[in-house]
Amino acid sequence: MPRKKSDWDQVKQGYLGMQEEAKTVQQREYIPEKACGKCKNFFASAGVTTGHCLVLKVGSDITSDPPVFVLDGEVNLMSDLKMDASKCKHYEEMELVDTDIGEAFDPRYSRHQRQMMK
Amino acid sequence: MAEIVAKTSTAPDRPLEELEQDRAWWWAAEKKRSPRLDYLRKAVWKKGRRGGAYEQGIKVDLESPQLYTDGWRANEGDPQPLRRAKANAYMMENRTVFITDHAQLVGTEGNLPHTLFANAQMLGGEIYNDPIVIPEPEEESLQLIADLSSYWSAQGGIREILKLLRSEDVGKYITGALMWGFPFGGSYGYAGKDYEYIFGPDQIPGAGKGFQDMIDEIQEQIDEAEAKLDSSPDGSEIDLYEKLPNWEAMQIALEACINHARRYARLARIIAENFEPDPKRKQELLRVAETCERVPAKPAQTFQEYLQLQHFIQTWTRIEEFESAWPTRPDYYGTPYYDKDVNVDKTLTKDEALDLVGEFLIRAYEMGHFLGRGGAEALQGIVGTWVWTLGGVNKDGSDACTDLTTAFLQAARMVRVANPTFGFRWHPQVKDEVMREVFECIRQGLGYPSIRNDPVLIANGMYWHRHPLEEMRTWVHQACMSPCPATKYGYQPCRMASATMNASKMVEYALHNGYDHCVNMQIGPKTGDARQFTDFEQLFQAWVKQMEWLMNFGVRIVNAGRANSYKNFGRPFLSGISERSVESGYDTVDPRSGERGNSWVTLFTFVENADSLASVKKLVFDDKKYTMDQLITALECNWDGYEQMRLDFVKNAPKWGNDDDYADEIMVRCLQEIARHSHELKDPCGNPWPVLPENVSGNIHFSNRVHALPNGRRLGDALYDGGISPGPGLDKKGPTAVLKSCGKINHISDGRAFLLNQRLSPTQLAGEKGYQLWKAYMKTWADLGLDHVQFNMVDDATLRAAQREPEKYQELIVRVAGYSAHFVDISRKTQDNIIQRTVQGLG
Repeated sequence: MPRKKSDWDQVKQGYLGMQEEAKTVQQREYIPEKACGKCKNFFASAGVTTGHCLVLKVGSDITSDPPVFVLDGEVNLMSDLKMDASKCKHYEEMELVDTDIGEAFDPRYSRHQRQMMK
Repeated sequence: MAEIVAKTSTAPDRPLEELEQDRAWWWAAEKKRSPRLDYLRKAVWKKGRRGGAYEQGIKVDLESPQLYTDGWRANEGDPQPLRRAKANAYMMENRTVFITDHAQLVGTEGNLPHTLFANAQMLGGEIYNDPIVIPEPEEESLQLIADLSSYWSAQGGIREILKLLRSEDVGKYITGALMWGFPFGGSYGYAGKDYEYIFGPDQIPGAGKGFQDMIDEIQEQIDEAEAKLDSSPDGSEIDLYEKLPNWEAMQIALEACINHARRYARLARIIAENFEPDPKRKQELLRVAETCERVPAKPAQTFQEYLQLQHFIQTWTRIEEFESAWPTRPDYYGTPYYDKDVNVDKTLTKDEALDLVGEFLIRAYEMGHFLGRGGAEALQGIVGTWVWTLGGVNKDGSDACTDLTTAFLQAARMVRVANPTFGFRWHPQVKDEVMREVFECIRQGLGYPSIRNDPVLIANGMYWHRHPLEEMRTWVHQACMSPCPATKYGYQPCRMASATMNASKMVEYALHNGYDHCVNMQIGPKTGDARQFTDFEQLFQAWVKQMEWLMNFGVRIVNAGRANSYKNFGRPFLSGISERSVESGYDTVDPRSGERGNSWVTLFTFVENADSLASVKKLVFDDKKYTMDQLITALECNWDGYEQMRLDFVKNAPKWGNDDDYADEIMVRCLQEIARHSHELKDPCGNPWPVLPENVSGNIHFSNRVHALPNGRRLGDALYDGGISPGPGLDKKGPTAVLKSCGKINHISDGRAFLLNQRLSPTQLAGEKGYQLWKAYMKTWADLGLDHVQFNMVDDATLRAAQREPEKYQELIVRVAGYSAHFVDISRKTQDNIIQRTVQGLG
């Protein structure tokens, strides 16, 4: 009998999927007005544009209609700086205090993305 | 030339002595160096990030990844090593080469002086999204990056390694809270070199191995293998199907290097014969041409050829794969060439040789590749930890310091680059005149050399990795700290940066039952609710379990990456210059090539464990001033609302570094537990995983990834700066007490190496008296058996002035941790952390 897919399996698949996805210039340039990367609840991974939500758990889907919010579980939802968070009721806009990226050492207050500086 | 130099020379019109008196070392250096060196130093582009951003004008080299990708696509049917070698060769045959005005050494990582090399496989969002480095025309460049990264995202080796790993390990790893770097072997290479093979065991000029010799040796292996395949099969021939493409790939890679050097030769000759009006410069260019025609095809014969060969090898290693370190011992291997030219044949004056050494340092400083945010945060202001090894002993145990050792130390003071830096292998036979040169570099504010205890580290390498004595005596810094032999079976072809743990998590998880309050997930194992702990031993045993879990987790990931790296990140060039690969036919990152192994786990943010455990033991369990319940509540609140209690934990609990057995015994006990477990862990070569506590600037990178701790630290505060350095401002008993605390650690059997940062007063250490004070301090350091110490000797007033008016202090250098950087290039948080370090008064 095949092993049941765990929440961690979903995280791994999601992460690999994000890494493998071929993206056009248009997709790469697009930053939603409310993006996960601008939210206080986004925890950026080191060295990549992915991260995870500090509130929502695996099984959540903030892009579906209607969105799904799962708050119980052991594993947090994988996300990306540019994920559209317009339907997320847990979205909390953060203040980007480090917009000149001279002090990019606090991932909570700094986004060194060219597209976010426009 | 004179006109150019005059325009760029801006040293104040004051006597040299006066500048030195005022410790205006940058201006003094400018007056001391030759006009040629002055031009080269000022013409170089700074490749490290300034804070989080690259300097305006720095661009990413897109020509190289595009050519590599074209070469890769054109050889689709080939086995991986061949395809890789051919793609690299195609790139090297076609990418732009340039020669800087007045240069006598050539070759760099990027295709132009202001570009950062970008490895095709690592092209991705970080470069695409960067606000500075996209070359004009921007639209075209963005399209190209998007196309290339889309192509490589489906091909990349990182993905292959991640696929192997358990989902739970991947999920925890990508939180970025536990480890640093990527779990694959080729990247962040830290590649050692088989220098004994390249320069020959006796280092006689002209008697080393040229690349053509290596190609011929590989051909003998191929011929032998083909003959075996022609004979009656007995099963042992099966491996040859894997080895033959490896050998062919090595040959292609070495031939590509010979051709690449000859492109520089051709360019130098064309400029000399057609465009250069200055007869002196014309001669220099012709010498560049002759040099590049000879090396690397044939062994180096002259000092210039030696330096050029060393520089080429590092350049090509970096073009082949992402390299973050620069393991080398330039004085030891260069001395025979220096002696021959300067002292025997007298074809080079001492000053000319010094000038070449200065340029050699500048050419290294010019190297640069794109670093993403994770890398840059822990390596602020630099591109990689390039710690060159000087001094030490010869293979027979005699003193290896020479005139060339002195020349490197003097040249460093003249060109004052922040990278490379030096680690000096101190041993009892080092002459006073050499120690004075070492001290002068420190006194003049370079922050380097770091001082390494040669007898201790030689014994350490023999203890942990079974390196024979004679081999261990050849050791070089593989990264900032770890010693590694430069021999056939001793040298390590890669070290994975991800074998770097965020060690504060050990105590954090022990206090929170494995729950991580930074990432809001259960990450560590459940080791009990600390609110219910009734004695210190329960807490310590929880700490031991969390430590073992973290070490197991990291090593499991790195072992998988390390053992499988050759499939995705093979190194045909590095293999071609490695005797064991030439002989065995296995890629050099393949453990089957015979590597003895030299693994270590870097522990960032380690000392917080000892201070936190000591604080809890004292204030909760011994004095019963607080309960565990109160403490855990305060920590969960990040000390908000508990400021008086927090200050109590900062001020009134014992701290490491004060020669106080209460805290020191806990520190030593922690390290001994780790050492015990290190022996239980094995790398793919069968060796244990000792730890190496240090931080580079990881103490800043992880400051938002470590929650509040019982040493009084809050989430977001900088962590301690060193590997065994006391917390900034918490060492209150003076420098000898720091040394005595550190001397309680066994620097051979408790771990791989231990980084100690110290700040000294530049006014106290002025003049002969200052040198004698420092020498007495170093004697205590050596007597106590410490393996490392490094110094900052810049006063607070200067550092604060540089914060106020950075434009006036562009060349001020500080020791961060394991590397040096220009003070203005590191973040404000790191600057403050350096200022907070205790200035130790000696004597």
